Amino acid sequence: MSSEPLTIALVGNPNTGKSTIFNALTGLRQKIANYPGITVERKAGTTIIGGVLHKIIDLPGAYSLNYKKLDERIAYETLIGSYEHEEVPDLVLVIADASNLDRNLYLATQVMDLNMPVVLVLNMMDIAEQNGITINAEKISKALGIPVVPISAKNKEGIETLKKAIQDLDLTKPDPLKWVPSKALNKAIETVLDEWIEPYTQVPERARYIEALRLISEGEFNDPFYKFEQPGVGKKAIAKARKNIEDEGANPVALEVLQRYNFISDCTSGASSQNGQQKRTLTDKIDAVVTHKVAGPAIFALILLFMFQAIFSWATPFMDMIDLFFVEGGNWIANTLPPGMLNDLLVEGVIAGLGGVVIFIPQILFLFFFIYILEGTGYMARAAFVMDGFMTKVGLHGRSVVPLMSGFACAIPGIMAARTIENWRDRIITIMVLPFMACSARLPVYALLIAAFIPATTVLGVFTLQGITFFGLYIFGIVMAVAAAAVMKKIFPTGQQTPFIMELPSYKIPTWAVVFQNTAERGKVFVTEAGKIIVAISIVLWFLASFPKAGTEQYEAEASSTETIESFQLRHSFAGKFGKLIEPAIEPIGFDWKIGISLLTSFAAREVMVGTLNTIYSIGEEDGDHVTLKEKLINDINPETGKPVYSIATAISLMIFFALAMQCMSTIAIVKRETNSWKWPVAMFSYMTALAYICSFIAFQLISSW
Amino acid sequence: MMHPLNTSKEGENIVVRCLNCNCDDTGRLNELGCVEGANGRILSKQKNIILQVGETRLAIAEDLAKSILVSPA
Amino acid sequence: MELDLQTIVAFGILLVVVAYLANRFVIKPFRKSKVEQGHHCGPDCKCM
Repeated sequence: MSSEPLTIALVGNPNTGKSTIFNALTGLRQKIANYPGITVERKAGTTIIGGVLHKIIDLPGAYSLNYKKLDERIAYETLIGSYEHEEVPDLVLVIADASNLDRNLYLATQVMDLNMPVVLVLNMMDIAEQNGITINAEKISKALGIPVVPISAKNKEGIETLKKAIQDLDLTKPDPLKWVPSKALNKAIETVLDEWIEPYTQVPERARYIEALRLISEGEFNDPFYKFEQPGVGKKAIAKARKNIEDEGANPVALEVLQRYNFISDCTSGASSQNGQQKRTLTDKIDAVVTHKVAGPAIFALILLFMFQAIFSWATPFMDMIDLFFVEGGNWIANTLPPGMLNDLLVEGVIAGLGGVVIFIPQILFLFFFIYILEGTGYMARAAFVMDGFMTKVGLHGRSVVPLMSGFACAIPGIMAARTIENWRDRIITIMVLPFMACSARLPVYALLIAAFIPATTVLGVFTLQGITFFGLYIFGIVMAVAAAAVMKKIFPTGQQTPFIMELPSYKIPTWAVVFQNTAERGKVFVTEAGKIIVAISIVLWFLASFPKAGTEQYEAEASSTETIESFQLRHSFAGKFGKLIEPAIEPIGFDWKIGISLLTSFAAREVMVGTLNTIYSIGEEDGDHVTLKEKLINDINPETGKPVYSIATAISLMIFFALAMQCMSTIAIVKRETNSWKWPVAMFSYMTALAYICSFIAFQLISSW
Repeated sequence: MMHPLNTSKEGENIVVRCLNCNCDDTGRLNELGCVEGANGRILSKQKNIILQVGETRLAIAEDLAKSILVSPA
Repeated sequence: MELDLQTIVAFGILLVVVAYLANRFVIKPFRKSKVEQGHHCGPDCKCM
């Protein structure tokens, strides 16, 4: 092998352990996806082999080079060297699931057709062995004409052998054996190449053969991937090629596939065998229960209930510790720094804002921990299968389950994951209802209000009223999403339905290192991305809530007898005046001007709400009197009425508002990007916020009068 | 005798005979190993079907299953 | 209001923060939307 640094691309079907191999080679953090098609992100890293530093790219999972989705197209474009954001790979590692060899070799043979140096990596050899499958890698290597390395990346077996195979590879002679197309198919390929691709297109040399096959199979080109100047000529050539095949009595859609599978079958016969009778595997046994008509949805609901109960209960001790840390830290700074504006800003603005963010890290970590476990075990795909019937009834698609589940973490990856839904109508409905799913940004608000206003009564000996309320809010989000989808189904024209086809990966124990790494990564993203904004807004807000300064004389002259000087100061600040301005509009839903200020700032991002409240309630605190935000909310008294600001009705109304309102600028931006129109984000913002107001109004009025 | 996949019974071994769905769906099924002549087994049959082809488990919607003709293995 | 060192630093921080927020929510998204023009997924779900 050349001693020059190489760009090595990892390519393979979804769920073949590509990310685990990438991790083993690079040691870098990355995102694993055990659900077909979810690995949308490209990952790059470096590895040292034989003293040379090589670049490794983890391409999105693809079943074939006949791309149907954007992520598959990126993999294809990268491989053929026409993806502008990626280097052209010098070597391709095709990762195949050894327990499902023939299916995985389909993609491998396509990559081999690109005339690039290829190493076939047979991963999951341990699972293949468990299933009684024996593979002779040497025989397959001879049959395909490329190096074949059996490994078990999860157990870190074979990684060194793989590195050695890369090191020993002669890159100058990529000479894989090729499948030989039938006469009819060969003639069709020549027609498309001679009459269209070579004279009229800029398709890269290495991709021409595979592109011809793709066009013959698809029947036409319907996206301007390449800048075709005379599309009419191309369409004629493709039609002619397909007619040649049909005249021979074959189906142009399936001919390449059938012939490739025949070639693969020849390559693996004698090199791969299954011992004994097909036995009922563990996956079969688990699937019999979790995909059951009745038990399946019940298990899905139980998993969600357990997940949210655990998030709430397990995170509490950690949250209390963090809360205490920030209270003590604030006290320490307040007492250490000399009195002055910077002291106040640090304690009441920065520390309060930062504390409001960091406290929710335990819950966010638990949420992502569970989501990654569900993905890592292979359960996510079952959830899609189980829910498909119901989803279809309400106007969604089985594939919508995964974006919607991702929405529990954050609407943004969920909306991006909706790309896997091929039908535009299904996709737009999924996007439009997805923000109802209770994302992790709502979690701080729910957690704060539940902890403050819902009693921790034990129910059924296992659950607490707080946990059930928490679960109820998540269910409320799901119900509203379903209801909104059902309405949209009636509004949007039906069009052609995309039927549900999905691969269900075998169950496996998730790679714990990857689960923990990814969970930590999400926590880091929350702190660095959301945290920065929250702290920044907290600082601005502190200024707005501290100026203009109300003097003691003004306080004595204007304040009511029950009002403290701090409350008076806040009421007369810029923020207070603004809150007062909008108070008449939010009073019917039970909110006062302080909540009003928080609502406004939370339109930037929901979690800003807690930081804002923290800042507002910290203004004017005396040194050493810091108490938790929860206690401040419970003890907050309206100076005009003398009653607590937060009643149960206010808390529930506020939670409902947060469950339904569209309060996330990033979501709006991503919807605009994904739909390429302002129409959808504007419609989303309007209907969700209006719905939130109406529902909060009804809830507040009903509970107040009850 | 050929029959639509959705009329198969749970646990039945079948051979895929004909894919009568549109080009996109046919292409996707083919790539996943569900090709004409492939042997399969019905793992689960509710409204949707779980079909095992080779070592691949495919969840297939009822409507799509109607357009896949199979025969007993 | 007295202009002591603490006040000057506090307002300095405010300035930096306002600049950050303006960049994050106004300048950056505007530039990004300019760059991303020309790539989108349309109603037929084919990327253009």
